[in-house]
Amino acid sequence: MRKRRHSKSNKRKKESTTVKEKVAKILEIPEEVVSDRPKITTVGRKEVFVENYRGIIEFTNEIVRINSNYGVITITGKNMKIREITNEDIVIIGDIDNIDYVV
Amino acid sequence: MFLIRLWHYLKGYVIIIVNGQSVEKFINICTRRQILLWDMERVERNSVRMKMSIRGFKNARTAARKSRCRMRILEKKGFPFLFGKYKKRKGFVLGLIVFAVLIYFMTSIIWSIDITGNYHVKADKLIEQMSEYGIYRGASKRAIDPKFLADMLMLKNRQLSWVGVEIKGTRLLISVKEGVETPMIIPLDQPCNVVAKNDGIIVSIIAKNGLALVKEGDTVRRGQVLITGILESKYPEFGSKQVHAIGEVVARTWYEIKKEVPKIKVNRMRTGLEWNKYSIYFLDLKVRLPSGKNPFELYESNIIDKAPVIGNKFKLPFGIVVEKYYELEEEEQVLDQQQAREIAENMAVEEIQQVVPKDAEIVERQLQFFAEDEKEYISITVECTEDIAAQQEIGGN
Repeated sequence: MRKRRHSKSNKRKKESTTVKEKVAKILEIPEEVVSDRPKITTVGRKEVFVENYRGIIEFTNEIVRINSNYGVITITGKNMKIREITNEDIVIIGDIDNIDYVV
Repeated sequence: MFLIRLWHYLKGYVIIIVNGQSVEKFINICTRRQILLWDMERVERNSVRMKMSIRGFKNARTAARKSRCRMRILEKKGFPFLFGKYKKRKGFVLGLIVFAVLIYFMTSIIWSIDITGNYHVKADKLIEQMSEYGIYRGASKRAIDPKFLADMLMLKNRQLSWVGVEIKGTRLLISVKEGVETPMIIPLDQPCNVVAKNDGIIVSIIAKNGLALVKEGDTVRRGQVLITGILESKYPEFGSKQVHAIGEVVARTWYEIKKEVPKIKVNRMRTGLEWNKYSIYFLDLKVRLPSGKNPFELYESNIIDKAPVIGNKFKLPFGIVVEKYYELEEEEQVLDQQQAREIAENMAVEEIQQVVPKDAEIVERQLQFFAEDEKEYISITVECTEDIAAQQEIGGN
């Protein structure tokens, strides 16, 4: 199991514009629709929306680690809960201190 | 947010605790399988509490096995669980459905037809006419077009001057207004006579067309020609001419009524004893409940309908009828002359008012008491002035 995850992390993309994104730009389609780059939205310090994620690695009240195509997003804080989690997005609420990318 | 919560509630959800070393893996498998999870919270080091839809829970079993987690239901919430209790009680649910259907069905049908305001036109006749158009007791409410029904009744019955149709719950209310029936009118271009409607003495006669045959002070009999429409020429060789006679003939007429003055008056009083007869009915089918025989010889009865009525609008076609019988007691009262005469006078006056035509004007009223064969009689005579002119075709009766 661990091996597979390792191999995946090696495959991490460099952030460069792909052909798909170029086409999207020409057709004026919002980028996040076609790209696989994660989109993180925060509202105040209470809510964090993460879209285009690949899965969660760790979930406790103090730390939430989310895997994405461009690295692991680490959100730290207190009393954190996942309000909703679907295939596309994840909504985290709580007293958020820090949002980090760990590559 | 409220809508989502409501949706979850209606679909039903479970609050579960997932226990295991890698709860995250369980969550990932679930999300990949399109299982919606919400309100996730870590409660202990190894366990996470979350909410999940019922359908999701069924699919999550394999996810739990794969991730070596254990799921435990903490609480079941939502409408399906509430309803699930009744799932086993099939009869109850069936009854509920039958009840709802029955109520809907029963209230969409006309169960009674009330006709008000008719004096001369028989209600049965109207009901029969309506049934020709598919409107009868038990007909669907939707089949009735009040406007059409009103028009139809108006056309079929000349005596009606107005018809109002209203559907109130399960009742069809028809209120009619009867007008004075239009008299037979002889067309203006057709010759006719004016004849006397009643016996009387002519007070005044105005011939607007035609020739007056009688003059003031003449006594005429009913049917006598007053104004003729046949005009004879002065010179017989020219023959005669026929006209449409019109005229106004005011005459003095008399009406008389003779009545016996009663010597005794029978007073009927309730003794206070009563006896009830119960019967149940459905539509016109009436079944008497066994309740013995009427014990009274002399009684008056009163019918009370105890049909169930929903909100005084929806009358249902079945119910209980209670017929109350009150025992009566007869008491003969010997009247003195004054009382007897008073009663007789009231009765006579009432009776004569029905005899006198409505458009007649009463000029004088005479009362007379006289004895005959050891009985006392009252005679009442009224003198009126009225228009006794009536048109009649020449040669007709």
